Amino acid sequence: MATLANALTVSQSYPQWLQQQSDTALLQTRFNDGSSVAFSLLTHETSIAGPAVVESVQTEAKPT
Amino acid sequence: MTDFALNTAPFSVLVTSRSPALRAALTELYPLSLLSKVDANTIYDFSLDVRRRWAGWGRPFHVSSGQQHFRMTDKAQLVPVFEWGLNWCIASYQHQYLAIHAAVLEHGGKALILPAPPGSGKSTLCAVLMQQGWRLLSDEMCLIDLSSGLIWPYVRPVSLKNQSIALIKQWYPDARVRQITRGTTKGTVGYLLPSDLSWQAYQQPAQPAWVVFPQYQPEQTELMLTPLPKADAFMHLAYNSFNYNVLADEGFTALSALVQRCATYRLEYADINQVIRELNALC
Repeated sequence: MATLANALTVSQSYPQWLQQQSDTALLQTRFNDGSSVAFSLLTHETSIAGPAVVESVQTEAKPT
Repeated sequence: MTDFALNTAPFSVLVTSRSPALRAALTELYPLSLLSKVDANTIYDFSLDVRRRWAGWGRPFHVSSGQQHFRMTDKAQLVPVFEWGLNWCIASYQHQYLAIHAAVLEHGGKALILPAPPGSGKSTLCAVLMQQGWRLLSDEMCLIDLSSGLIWPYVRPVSLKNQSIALIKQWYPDARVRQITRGTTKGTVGYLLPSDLSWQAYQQPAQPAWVVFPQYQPEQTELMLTPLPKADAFMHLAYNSFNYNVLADEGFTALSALVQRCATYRLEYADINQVIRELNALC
């Protein structure tokens, strides 16, 4: 089964969960500046998926 | 009991209060047409209860929504606590829009989104741009329509804090700052009334065009408006969202579409006049 890691040729520096997800469990967006993000339908994690900057969040902002 | 409704589109709020002072204070902040009697046949989006917890004039007020406690307060701070309570209701309970903690203004039909944490100068910047003729959609909530991608206004008074109040009054002597309250948990708070233009179009959505992350840097001599990779902008917006995690794949899709159609920047500034020139030049 193809993985996002294969599809985007991501490096080992990407979050482990992103490298292990199958394409069917992911939503991906490649932006018009070349950067991209991915969302796991299984764990609801979000990550930058390229270029190589590692960041992953589970979010909840607070009103001020 | 002094019950009333506050109909600030896109939300209506039923306010249950024993304090006539609260409604009286809100008439300074909102058009009278938005404050109405309670209609038994209307289903309101939220309810806020403002009640004395114990008998006696010196006792604190209890602000809650249904069985959910929000905060205790004394009479002097009823207005800011009410405003924060309203923010809390919307951040906690509405999920028809993807909501991001950000100011939003519109110029020429295009919306500028200013997401930022407290202390970044977001509300001050928002107030200045409104005084310069931009239409205010919100100084607190960017409400993104999940299907159309449009941004819906949520026009309310701009919450200014501490030295921002004096600065806005100094720069714009005609600015209408009301209900200044000292000694709150955020220091002194005052509310700048939305411009007439903002109220006139308070139900008119706008197309998102720019996302700018502002940061006030007092040591900075030259303004820096730096393009931000869209994936970075996406992550920062997700982090500043109230309900991205609740909306899950719907939130991801809506936020992706917004970032795709917007130019994204980081803004570092010290001089507000440079900011005005730079942001006006985007239009």
